[in-house]
Amino acid sequence: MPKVDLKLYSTDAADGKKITTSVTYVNPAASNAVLKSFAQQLNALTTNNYTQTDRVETVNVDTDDSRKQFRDILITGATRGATATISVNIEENGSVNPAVFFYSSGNVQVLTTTSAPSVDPTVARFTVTIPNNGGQVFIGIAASNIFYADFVTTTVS
Amino acid sequence: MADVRTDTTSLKIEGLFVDGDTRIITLKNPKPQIGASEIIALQTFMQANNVIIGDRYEGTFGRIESVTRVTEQRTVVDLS
Repeated sequence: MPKVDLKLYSTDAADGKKITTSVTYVNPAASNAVLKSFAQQLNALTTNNYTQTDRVETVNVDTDDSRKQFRDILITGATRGATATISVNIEENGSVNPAVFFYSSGNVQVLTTTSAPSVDPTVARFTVTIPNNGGQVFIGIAASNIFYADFVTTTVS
Repeated sequence: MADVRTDTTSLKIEGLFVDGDTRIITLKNPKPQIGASEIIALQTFMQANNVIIGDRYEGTFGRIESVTRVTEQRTVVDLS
């Protein structure tokens, strides 16, 4: 989990100067709503005027945790009844497991990847069969040792 | 020109974690009056949500140990 800090921004009621209150080592699992409430409760103990609260995540690039970065999920050929290809750029070889869903007329359907992922040093590719009706394709990618998952949608008309 | 004096006040909230670690949150310009119930309400929220963790061993938040109001008086002495 990354190190998460909180920055509470407010202004001095007397002279309008900006004040930044930093609270380091916030629980990484805390939701943004909890952090907002916490920041506003702290500010309520002061005479400062609340401006906003930022959640700041810090990633240590020195740690050797085999974390694999991926980005740029791209889906091509997403038309009715077609075989669409999903490609994901990754920095290192590794297992990448996509979750692909199709939403249409209030129903959610899980789309199974129909071919084994091919991985060259920088790109993982999968294929899915798009149902024969209009809707939206939702793709979420998570991989081992990655602490976040990317997520994209594509509309099938 | 006379001496110029400025006062700044801050509130230091000391949190105690279950592993014995402590941390201090400093707030500028605290309200002139802060009731114990406000601090207890903040503590309850922090305990329920484990909002802050220890900065030594990422320990779980235990309680607010103390709240201190610190006033700093600065006087710039007139040297004329």
